[in-house]
Amino acid sequence: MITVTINGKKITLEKQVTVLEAARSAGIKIPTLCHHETLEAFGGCRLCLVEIEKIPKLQTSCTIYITDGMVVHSETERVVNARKAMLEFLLINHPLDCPYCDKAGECDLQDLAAKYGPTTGRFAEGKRTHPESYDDPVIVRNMERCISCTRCVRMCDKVQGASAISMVNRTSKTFVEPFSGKRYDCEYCGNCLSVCPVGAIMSRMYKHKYRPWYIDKNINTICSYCGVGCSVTAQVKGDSLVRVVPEMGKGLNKGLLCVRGRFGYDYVNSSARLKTPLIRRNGELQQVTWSEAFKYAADRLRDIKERYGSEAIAGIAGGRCANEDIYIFQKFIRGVLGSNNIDSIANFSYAPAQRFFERIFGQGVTANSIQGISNSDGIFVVGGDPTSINPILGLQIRAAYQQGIPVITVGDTPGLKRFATCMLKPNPFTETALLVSLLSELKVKKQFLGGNSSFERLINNISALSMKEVEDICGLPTDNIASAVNMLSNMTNPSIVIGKDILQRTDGHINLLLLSAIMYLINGRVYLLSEFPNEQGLVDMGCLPDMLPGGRPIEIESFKKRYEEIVGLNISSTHGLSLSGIIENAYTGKIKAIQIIGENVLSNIPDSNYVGKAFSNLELLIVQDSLMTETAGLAHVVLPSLSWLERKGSYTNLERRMQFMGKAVEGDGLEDWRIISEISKMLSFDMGYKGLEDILSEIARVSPLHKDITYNDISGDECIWPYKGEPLRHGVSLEGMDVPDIGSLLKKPAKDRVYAVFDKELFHPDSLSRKSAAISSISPEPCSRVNRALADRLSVSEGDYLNISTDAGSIEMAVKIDEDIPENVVMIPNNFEGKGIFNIMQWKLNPVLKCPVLDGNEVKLKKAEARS
Amino acid sequence: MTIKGLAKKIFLIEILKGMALTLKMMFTHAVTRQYPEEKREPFPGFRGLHALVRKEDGTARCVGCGLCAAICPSQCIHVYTSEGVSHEKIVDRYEIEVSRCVYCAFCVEACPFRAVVLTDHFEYAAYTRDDLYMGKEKLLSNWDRFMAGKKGNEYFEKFWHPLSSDFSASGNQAIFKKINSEG
Amino acid sequence: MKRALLRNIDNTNSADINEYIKISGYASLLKALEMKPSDVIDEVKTSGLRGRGGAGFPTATKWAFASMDPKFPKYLICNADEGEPGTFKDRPILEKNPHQLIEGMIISAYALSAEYGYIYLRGEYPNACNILNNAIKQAYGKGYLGDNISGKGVRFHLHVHQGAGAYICGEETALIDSLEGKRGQPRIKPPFPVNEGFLSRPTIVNNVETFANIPYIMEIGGEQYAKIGSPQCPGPKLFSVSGHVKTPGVYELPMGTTLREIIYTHCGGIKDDKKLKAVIPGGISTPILPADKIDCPMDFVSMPRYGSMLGSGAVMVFDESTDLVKVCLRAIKFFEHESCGKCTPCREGVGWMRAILKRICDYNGRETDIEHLLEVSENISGNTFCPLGDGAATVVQNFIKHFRGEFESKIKI
Repeated sequence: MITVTINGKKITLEKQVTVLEAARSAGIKIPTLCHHETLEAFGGCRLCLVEIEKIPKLQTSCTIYITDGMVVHSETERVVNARKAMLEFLLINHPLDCPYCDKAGECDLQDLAAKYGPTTGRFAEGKRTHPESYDDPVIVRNMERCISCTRCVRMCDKVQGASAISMVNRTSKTFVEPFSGKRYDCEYCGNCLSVCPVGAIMSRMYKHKYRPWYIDKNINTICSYCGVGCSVTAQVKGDSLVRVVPEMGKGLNKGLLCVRGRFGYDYVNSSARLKTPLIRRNGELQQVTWSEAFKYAADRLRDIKERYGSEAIAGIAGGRCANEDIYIFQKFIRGVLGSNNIDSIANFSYAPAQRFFERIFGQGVTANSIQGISNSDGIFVVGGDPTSINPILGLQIRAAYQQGIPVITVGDTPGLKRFATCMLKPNPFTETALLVSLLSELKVKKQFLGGNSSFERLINNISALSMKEVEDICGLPTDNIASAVNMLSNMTNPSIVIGKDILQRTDGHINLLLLSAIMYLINGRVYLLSEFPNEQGLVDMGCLPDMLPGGRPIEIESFKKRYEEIVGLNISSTHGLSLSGIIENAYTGKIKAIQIIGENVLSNIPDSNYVGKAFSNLELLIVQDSLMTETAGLAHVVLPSLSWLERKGSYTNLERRMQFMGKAVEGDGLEDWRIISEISKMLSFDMGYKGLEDILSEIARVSPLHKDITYNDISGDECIWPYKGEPLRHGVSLEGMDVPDIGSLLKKPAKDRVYAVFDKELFHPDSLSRKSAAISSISPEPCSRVNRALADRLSVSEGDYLNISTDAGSIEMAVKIDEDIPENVVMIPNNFEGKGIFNIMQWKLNPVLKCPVLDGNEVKLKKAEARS
Repeated sequence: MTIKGLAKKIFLIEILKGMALTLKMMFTHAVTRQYPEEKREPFPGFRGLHALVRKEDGTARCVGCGLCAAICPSQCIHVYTSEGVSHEKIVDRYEIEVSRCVYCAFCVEACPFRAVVLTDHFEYAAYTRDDLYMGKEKLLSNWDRFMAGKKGNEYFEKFWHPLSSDFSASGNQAIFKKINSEG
Repeated sequence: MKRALLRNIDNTNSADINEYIKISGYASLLKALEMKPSDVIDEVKTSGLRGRGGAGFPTATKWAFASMDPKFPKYLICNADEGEPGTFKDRPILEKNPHQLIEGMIISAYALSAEYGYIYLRGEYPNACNILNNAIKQAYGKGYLGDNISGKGVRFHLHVHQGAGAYICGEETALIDSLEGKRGQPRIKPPFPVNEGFLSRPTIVNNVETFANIPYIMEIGGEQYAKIGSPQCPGPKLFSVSGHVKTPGVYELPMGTTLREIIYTHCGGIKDDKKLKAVIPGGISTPILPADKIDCPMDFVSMPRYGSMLGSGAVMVFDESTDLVKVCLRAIKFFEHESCGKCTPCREGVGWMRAILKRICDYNGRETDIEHLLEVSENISGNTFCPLGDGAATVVQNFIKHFRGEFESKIKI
């Protein structure tokens, strides 16, 4: 116990903290500028000077630690004068352009100068001048205003780990600049601008458009880009959105954001927004009234149901729809239309992986806190780059690495390049062999001798591969594998982060089995990377062909009966078609009508040509979306739904935390659930919901998992797994998880071929971000990545265009050279219309996981003709 | 009641006194002003109709800092700004709901650029509320009508006291050169 | 007195290892290697050696802190970033007697069990860089550096790192940051470099002259060494004398030699036999002394009694014709240019003082300027992150304290 006296107030603390923290814990205000809670101490601004007895000089309270019996004074005349002097110093080179500066009103320096500072300045000589920089599309730098607190630089170096900016020059000419001196070459997380205490680094998105005191409402909501679910605040003036900002220290992101969350919100005001319902007449989409659209959709659905039966109708739900929407959607498709053909994009990677792990380890095995990553003692990343798929989760890994926690990565993880203790980069599509060798070495290290449970016996039966063979197949030195095994075996509480690359393979199910075995051996916690904000919600709300809400299998009579009783509709107990099945059957003409909510299927799943043909075979395609997408372009009925920020609802993130998103502005359109219940009413089933509360209370009754859940729980601090409900308890089911034949894995990739690999970009994860003007200005066109050796062979250099073709089609794309990828691979993103990897990629289905297999897509490359 | 009081009542003393005063006043000057025929010159600093100051180059002096809107106790000032082509701040709309104004002139005091004034014009009754919802052009024309020339300058010299001299002597601020050409 | 630090200086080939060995060079090293490391530290303790960089911290105490720290590896850094205006005392050692420095570093490394050493050399000394690199090569050749020094199983590797011209990198933590490849800015203390320095390992940073003293201590023994010069801070000291004296240069004299003796006996008095006006006794950041205070003995203990500091022993002499306001302005210009920009008072305040001084120098001063200047300097001093800002404030305060009249005369005209 340490007791200090600050301003005559005795404070007793357990831990040795800084004087500043001690003072703040007791409610004593000490002004600071360079200090920030998320950053390490700097001691540069000298505003937090305090007088400490027995120390002759004034001390900065942010750097000096308390000792027992310390007596501190923060308001003596000497301290007050020094503080005033520091503010006077800060202001001599700070332009007093507050009336013009957007920061005014929320500027730390302005507040401190008003509270503590001198009222007039004595400095009459010229201030420094520095031209404002507009070289960057989204960030403006005004270095006249910089006070060299280096918060941004420390944020960039230590928290974001990007090291993209630095202090330049010395003396009063010090300022902050990205290394190019012009545009930023970084991840555009924008965390630098949220820590800037003055108006030196600011977003251009709302420049000169607001003043902090104009803001009428602050609405808490959840970012709509990925499965992390970062808290953001939407600020509204009157009826228009001013900006979306994070609140430092708030939410599971603690106020940090990635480029999508910070700059990508402007798709809400995109010109591609749908405003009125559209119906296809004479081959063209024409504007109609809502009632016409509802009637048309209902009539056509009834007609198709009568003519072809319920089985000819299917539904596809999107990962950006709220839980309430997708619950109503599956109720509509299952109950009202009588078809179990309902699925979502979650079933392409997230849901199969989760189901696989849950079969072995029980429901909820993936529900782990993201904050826990930096508290684990080792991190194993496999199958994707967390820093581009779930950037805020990626930051946890970076933070862990900086604390000295070992990080092992498998595959292409460019974002962790400087944050990995051991990077294993096997030859393309040979991860299975690597995992086998990791597992067999781990078995030796952990002295695993088998056991009694069926899973332990299964692990025991997995035979080993010799190191020599692995070295041969994967092209990895044995030393690297050995050191990775060493690290893995020393971990007692590790996190395993799994991306979808590892399961979208021919041997995807074997990979998952091997990962489960590794996880079992090292006692790991698993995190599944999730690309959509509500992928988990799709699973939990029953948007799967074989699952009812709460993750209850449809074939089990008791669950089905309970559902039927509460909902008041009879449902079929046969499994419906999965997403791939729906597309296939639409192609062959067995499916006649598809209703899609909030998903751009055509762009977001592979082989757009095939999907396009399948959709054009349909008699009825209903698309509910807030934006005009490629899929909506093929629809017979387009119903504008309200976008994020325009409606309330809840999301479930990858750690199975339910979070509430608020409504900030009014928009054109209706909530998805309202649209569906209107159509349902026309089909003579009145769902009768008055609002979201009705829906949630029904969910709480239908899903045993969400028992008694209310919006108070969801908008409260923590609404985490397993809520108040009961998870499904079932025994370990190892059906279909046979011991792999190790011999069959010995496939060496052909060196002379080039394969296309889906590049999950940070800026454009899917088709949504391209509708954001800000993100499009950062990354205006798609770029493929190739190794230098391959580039030389094709005689292309950076900036040239590459013609990439497969049997399915060809695309042209700019080239970027990346030394860190294998020679026989071309990384292609899927982010621009008609120019993505899914336009040319063919796929088959993994027989166990029922997810697409994206490996072995051989491509032909040639240099494209020069472009004008 | 005393005898004195009784006498006062009987001889109608009070009424006579009053009549005497009335008689006296008949021979003095009338104080009632014959408004609107006869108008009174307002005192300097009178707080009447609002105006936005027009610079010599014809544009408004207002930079859109919004301090007037922030300080306005009746929340009747609305400023809308945006970014111009050369990244300057443009005042798209400047609106005062005159009918809600309480004429405290806090806006005038808060303005760091001497850009808004209350003129001495007070006859602006209107038939609709819309006429009293004044936009930027209307407020600028108010300046032309009531304050342009010497009068405006005198007003500022006498009645505008910014707290900090830093704003008035901003010559060496690069950013102010752009917006405040008068200096 | 026999020279101890610059003993071979008259030999034109003094930087060669063979010439150095001829005057019994590296003998001290062999002697030290026979001793226990802790005994070497004790010997230095007996000698009473104080750091020659300017602060005068007892070297053995610093070493003891580092040797007590259990973390390994330990690093030894020689601070050869001689940037203080007026100081050029290390240059003759670096250029003429590099082996004595190297020998001193090897002995220190042995005493501290440090395996790696760096000489952080001032960027403006390209010649010294070549000479040092050559000398290190020779020492490797003779087996005084490497994995097995003189067959005793002691390991020490030495590298030269050239600075990029920042005065602040003479501050030990900024030096370490710079050596790590970062922006050279002082670090928060504690932790001190002796516990967490270069790459977060225990690090000893000593001045060139300090290291050069080590072989001499080993040679004559600590007790003998303690008898040289002032009793509280003994030893030979290099004084770099510049300015208005007849024979400016580097002088090796015992600690405690008075300023008068240095100027009038060793440097032949004031140039053109003019009158002495003022002396800056220890580099630009030490307080200026007027002519009547030059009887002070030059050592770490006595100088504060006369209102100044020994600093690096860089004596700058100004005769009666000097315009001290201009000197003050020039000094402040230097401090402004070299302020690293980390803390507010130094970054902004020194520039402000320069602006006021410039005004006074240009005869545009205002009546309040001197008080204003003093007030700014008081706001700086004591509130800065490192001593650089304090140094600038001290200059202004002492110039005004002793020569206020000169400032006033510029304003009143």
